Amino acid sequence: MVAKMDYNRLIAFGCSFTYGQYLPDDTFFLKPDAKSKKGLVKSIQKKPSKYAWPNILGEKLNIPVVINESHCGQSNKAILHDILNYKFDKNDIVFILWSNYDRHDVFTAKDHQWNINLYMSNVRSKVYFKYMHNKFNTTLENYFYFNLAHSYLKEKNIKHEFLLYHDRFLADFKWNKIKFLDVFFSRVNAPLPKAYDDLHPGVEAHKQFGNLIYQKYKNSEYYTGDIK
Amino acid sequence: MSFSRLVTFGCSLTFGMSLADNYPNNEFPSKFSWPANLAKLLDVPIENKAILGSSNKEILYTLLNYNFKNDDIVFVLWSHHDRHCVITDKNIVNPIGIWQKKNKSSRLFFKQLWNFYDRKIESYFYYNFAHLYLQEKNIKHVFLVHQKGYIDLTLEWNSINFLNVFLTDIRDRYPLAKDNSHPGIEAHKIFAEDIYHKYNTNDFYIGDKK
Repeated sequence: MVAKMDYNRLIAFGCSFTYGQYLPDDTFFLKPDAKSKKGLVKSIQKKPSKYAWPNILGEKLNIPVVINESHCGQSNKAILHDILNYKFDKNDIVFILWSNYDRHDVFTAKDHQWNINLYMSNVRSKVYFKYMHNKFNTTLENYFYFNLAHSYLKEKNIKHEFLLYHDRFLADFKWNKIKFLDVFFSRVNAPLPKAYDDLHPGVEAHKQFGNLIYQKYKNSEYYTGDIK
Repeated sequence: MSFSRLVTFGCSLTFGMSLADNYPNNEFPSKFSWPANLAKLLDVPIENKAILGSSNKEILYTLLNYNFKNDDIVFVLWSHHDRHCVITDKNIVNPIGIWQKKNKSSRLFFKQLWNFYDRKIESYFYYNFAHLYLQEKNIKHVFLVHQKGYIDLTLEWNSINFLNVFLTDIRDRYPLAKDNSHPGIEAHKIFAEDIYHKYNTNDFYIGDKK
């Protein structure tokens, strides 16, 4: 077990799975329909959910301030961009639940981007997934982003832990320096009740995921850092 | 410090495209290229890993998969921001560039997905990852871009201080290569001498903006 230092802030980055989209405190039903909820539920949340895993984890770690910097629909490229532009303090600890590989962003300015997603019907998304996307290329680009984030935080002496939603996102590149924490939200989420959209993890899944991260963090010598 | 090898990465500008010894087929890097000239000045053997038509993404990918020695010195002349590529699991690199007008992927990329700011940001991701990667491996390295306009001082997270020598500035002052587009033999020689001069007289190190 490694000695744990005291942190003033837990900073979390990620997508809707970190934001806690469609959890009870942030969801608005546009037209509730008992027969077919899907498609009728609309999220209008303005801030991350208090039920999301970063809050659970912050409580367990007894860290006084939890800052959830995630955004719904974010790609890993955009998550990296957020990390690079964030003002960290030396006593921060950073947890990143990286997003799915089925999305991308094209930046048009520091604070604006075109969202590209496999499930979007716009021309950009269609072009991207038909002509620019293959599994190897996408995995490669995402591992570039993960490794830059890791090296950047390491150079700044900011403690950080990296997580993936699903173990199918793991890959083996000889230059990869990251050991992801062995907790995958998909495994936790699968058997548990979902959020209001019937897709995202529900309250109990977030709670269990936060607890599992805490257990791993507390009991292992693990550091997202270099593979030894 | 003495080095056992000069290893260079880049595109056609580093390859020495269409110079006297490799025109017109360009099957090997030119002995007249700036890396070959720089190796002579440094008195070390050269490994020129430049690839014609490379994007910065491909340059990074090549660099990450290279087996460095501890006493290598690495110079990277990064490519045009515009360029991109898609890589398959068989290590086939499909280049995307404005010169590929017959390639549908390229045409659609520039029509639908290209943005000036985005191309710059992605290039700076690659520069910084390469820099931190080499720094962690204790491999001495120097980064260059071929035109001054590619240097962006507004990105606070960028930790690279590029060497202040630009091949584009030199190219047009001398006769061009045999394709009448790329830098000629004299431009490569002067560029190498400028790099060597900066290398010898400055705290040139790549590294941190300090």
